[in-house]
Amino acid sequence: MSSLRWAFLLDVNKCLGCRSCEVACKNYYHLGESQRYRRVATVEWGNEGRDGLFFLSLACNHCESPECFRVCPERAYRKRRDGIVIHEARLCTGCCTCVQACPYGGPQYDADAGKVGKCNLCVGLLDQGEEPVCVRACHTEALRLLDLSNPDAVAFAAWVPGFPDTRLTHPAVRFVTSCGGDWKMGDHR
Amino acid sequence: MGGLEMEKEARAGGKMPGYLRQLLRAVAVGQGLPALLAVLGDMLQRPVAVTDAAGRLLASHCQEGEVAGWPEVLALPLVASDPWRGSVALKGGERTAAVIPLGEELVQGYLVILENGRPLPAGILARARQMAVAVLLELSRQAAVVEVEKRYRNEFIQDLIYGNFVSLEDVIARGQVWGWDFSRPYALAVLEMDGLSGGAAGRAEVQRFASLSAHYLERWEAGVITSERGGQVIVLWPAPGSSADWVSLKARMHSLLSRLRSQAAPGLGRTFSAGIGRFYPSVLYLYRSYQEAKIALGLARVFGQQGGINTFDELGVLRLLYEVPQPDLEVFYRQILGPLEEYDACHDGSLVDTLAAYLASNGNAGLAAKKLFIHENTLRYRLRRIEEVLGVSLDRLEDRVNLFVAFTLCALRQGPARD
Repeated sequence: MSSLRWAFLLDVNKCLGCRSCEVACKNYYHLGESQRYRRVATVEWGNEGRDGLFFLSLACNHCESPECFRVCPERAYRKRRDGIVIHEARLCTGCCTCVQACPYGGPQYDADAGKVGKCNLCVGLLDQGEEPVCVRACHTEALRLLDLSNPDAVAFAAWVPGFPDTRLTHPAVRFVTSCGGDWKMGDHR
Repeated sequence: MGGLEMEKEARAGGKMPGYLRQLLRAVAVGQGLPALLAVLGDMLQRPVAVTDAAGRLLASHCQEGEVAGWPEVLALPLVASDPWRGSVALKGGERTAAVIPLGEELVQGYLVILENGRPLPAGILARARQMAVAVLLELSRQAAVVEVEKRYRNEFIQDLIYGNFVSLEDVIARGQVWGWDFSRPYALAVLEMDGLSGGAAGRAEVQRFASLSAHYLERWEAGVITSERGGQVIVLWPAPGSSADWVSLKARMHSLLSRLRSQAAPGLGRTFSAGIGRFYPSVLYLYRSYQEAKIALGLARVFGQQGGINTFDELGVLRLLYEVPQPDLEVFYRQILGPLEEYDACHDGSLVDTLAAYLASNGNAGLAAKKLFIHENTLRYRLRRIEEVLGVSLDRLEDRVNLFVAFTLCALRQGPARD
């Protein structure tokens, strides 16, 4: 029997880059000045003579093999059975080893608090059956939640241009994309 | 009841044949597989056995005075849902048998009927297939119980390797429920089959692999714990108390995993790769060892290696290369091997392949020539040409290192899979 494994699903064809998700997260968690648990980046791509542009709304990807979790000297990270990677702020000393190790910029340092923080997939809301604030804020429904234990999840792309190499960390994020073409890393600008 | 009587019963038609009623009654009262096989064996007048999907013997029955010599694991090839006939290796030698897979979409086991010198008549085989339904019922009933136990066991292991325990006391107490001693340290390895496809067929292969790994490793080494997660088999290895013995434990892990490869290969039909994490003196740090084992395995995959046993603390330059930004890798690759690629493209040559084979042969020209199916003199001529084109000397260690690194980067330039 396979058990629930949460992931973000981003439809890059629907994302308008409005940053509602980014703002909703920052406001809900009263994040420090330099912190944005969710960030929207613009990706310009070129492949086989075709050009395009899309937006990538990314947060912590709750990886199957999280580097933050591996390198933290304080054991401040753990991964729940549903796949959510939790950072225990009370154990964090702000050494930023995880910040350097994560290829996706998930963990972020808050200079005021002297600690690192990151997206926890709104685990409090999720446990009460509600959606994360970023998902709720997305008015085009470009950002959704996905259960990776569902066999249909294999239909979505695990990588798009502009996203770092996924082969060691196996991030729990999937994409709907119509970029097409024979992609390899480095094709994006 | 013999085959003739069964024929009579079947011809009578109408109600359910007596042999089936007898079998289903055995299932209903929960007499278990041995009782079921005794009924079945007596009806068929032949030695019969039931295995799980991995070929592990679950129960067998022989007529009085007959010795079949069933082994612990029958090397049965992966088959579709149809019965097949062929040789099976028993302790006393090969015997011809009819093998009926139990289950359709997901094969849960096999019913093996030894033949007495000649093939089973078609009528008997058809009835044996009917009887196999009763065996499948019993197998499914047992599997449901085992599945629940396995789920709880896997959840505990998952909590352990994902750092969900705060205190060592908690781990030790929970481990005792399963008969495991977590007051001692454990080493960790992750095993994964090579070239596995997705879907139901892939899942069945993973289950078979997990079952065989558990069977052999837990038998060869006392205290070994195995668990399956995401298509990988996680092996927890009881370790001596100090890191001083880590080297010898690592050697033992290598040796037993190699033995597993040769022992399990006939039943698997494909190789597997392994990753081993570093040693930590407390099981509370097994989560880190697990991540390291996955990195060791993942890097081997990235660099196109199969069937190897990869240890995190021996990854060396591979780990460093993986952490270098992609654009820097591109520049380095083009700088070192670009001229040779251009030369090959202009002259329809194969100098890149020649150099790759030479380096993969540790600079042994004879071996490289054999791999390329060319004469050694041809190889030497090509190597001189390579030195001219690239402006390097293959005798210089520094040049060889650069070329080796450039070839290693080839795997990284492929980029991530777009699944």
